[in-house]
Amino acid sequence: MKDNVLNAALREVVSREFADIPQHESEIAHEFSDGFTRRMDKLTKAEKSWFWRMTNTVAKRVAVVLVVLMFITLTACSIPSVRAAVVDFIKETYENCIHLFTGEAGSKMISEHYVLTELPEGFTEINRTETDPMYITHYQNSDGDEIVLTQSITDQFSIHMDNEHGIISEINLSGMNITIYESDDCMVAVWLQDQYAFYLTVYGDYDMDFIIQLVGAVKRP
Amino acid sequence: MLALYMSFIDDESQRRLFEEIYLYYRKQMLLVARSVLGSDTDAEDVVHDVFLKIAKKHMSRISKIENSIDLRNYLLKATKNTALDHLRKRRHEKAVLDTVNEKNLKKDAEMADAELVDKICGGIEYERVVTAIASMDEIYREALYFHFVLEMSVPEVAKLLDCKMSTVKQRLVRGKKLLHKQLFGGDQE
Repeated sequence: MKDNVLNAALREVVSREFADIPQHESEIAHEFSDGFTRRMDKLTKAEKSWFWRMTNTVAKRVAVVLVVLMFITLTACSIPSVRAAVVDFIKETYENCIHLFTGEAGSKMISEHYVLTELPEGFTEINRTETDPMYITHYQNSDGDEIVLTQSITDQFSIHMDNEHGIISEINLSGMNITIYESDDCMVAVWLQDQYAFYLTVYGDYDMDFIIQLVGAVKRP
Repeated sequence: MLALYMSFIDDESQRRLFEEIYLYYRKQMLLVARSVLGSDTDAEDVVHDVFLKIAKKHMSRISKIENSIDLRNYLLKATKNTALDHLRKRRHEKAVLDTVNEKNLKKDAEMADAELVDKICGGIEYERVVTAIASMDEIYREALYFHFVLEMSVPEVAKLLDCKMSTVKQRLVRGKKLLHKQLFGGDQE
């Protein structure tokens, strides 16, 4: 947005709030405690770990993930008792989106259906749809808020998440890595569970805790 | 463990910017936190918390701020809000700041940004705009500042202020409505 009268006025008023705070270190008489200095030194001067050095660019990240996946696949192949292929997301990060996908080693059909075993208050199931690669369950409440759970095979699964108009974060829930996208209108959680890929979309004003609880409730009925 | 925090900043230029910000603004931030909490120890904890939050979540946003006044305002606002959160927790206060009716909000949310900016830029004196903004409650003023000046999205503001997206939306809608009322004498159509 171009600078305009409104922006200039907002900036001036907000700046006034801090007008009495001196703008130079030397004008402020305060000695930080040893504890604070130690904590901040560690924070600002922390040595980069070997993993950070190896993965600090998009290309390197993709390469590292691919190498890790190749290693896992080779290991899996060399142990006859491991019958189910080990699947993980490959993540590519671009300027305006991230791409999560799997290779060809995952599940090729859905043999067990997963649903939300605990529904948030006011929500009811309104529809189930099954196609070859997906099983979709749709829930809604009286305000028109919606929850859509999609269970997918992991063979050649692929999803793009836009990071220009929302925020993408990752959490670990009971050992599962959950990628969460938040925008003004919806939240999406994507994760792998029991050989399937899931993405859960919530439309309405809800927070992160809400979607995390939903993810925890995705089970076989 | 602390090395992990810096791994959240995965861009070398952002790491340098983080260090510069720390060295230049830490004492200013401390004064803001101290003015809220009244204690140096608590203020240092707050400053540390703010830098952790920045390292974890906000460096990409901060690196987009080009105006140094806006950068300072952003950091001092973040510090003040974090200090107020600490104060609320200490006093066991409920952090319920808004009592805006949810149903009315959906209707009010239609208020268009461009229309409001055009109207204000179309003939209102600068000093009147400043006076109107200065008379607003701080929670609405800061929501408008983050939204219009820093062009932050609702999720970004919610993360910065550590509140729900619906709260941020409420403050934006209410703020725009209040500003319109101050300047034009009625609700925006």
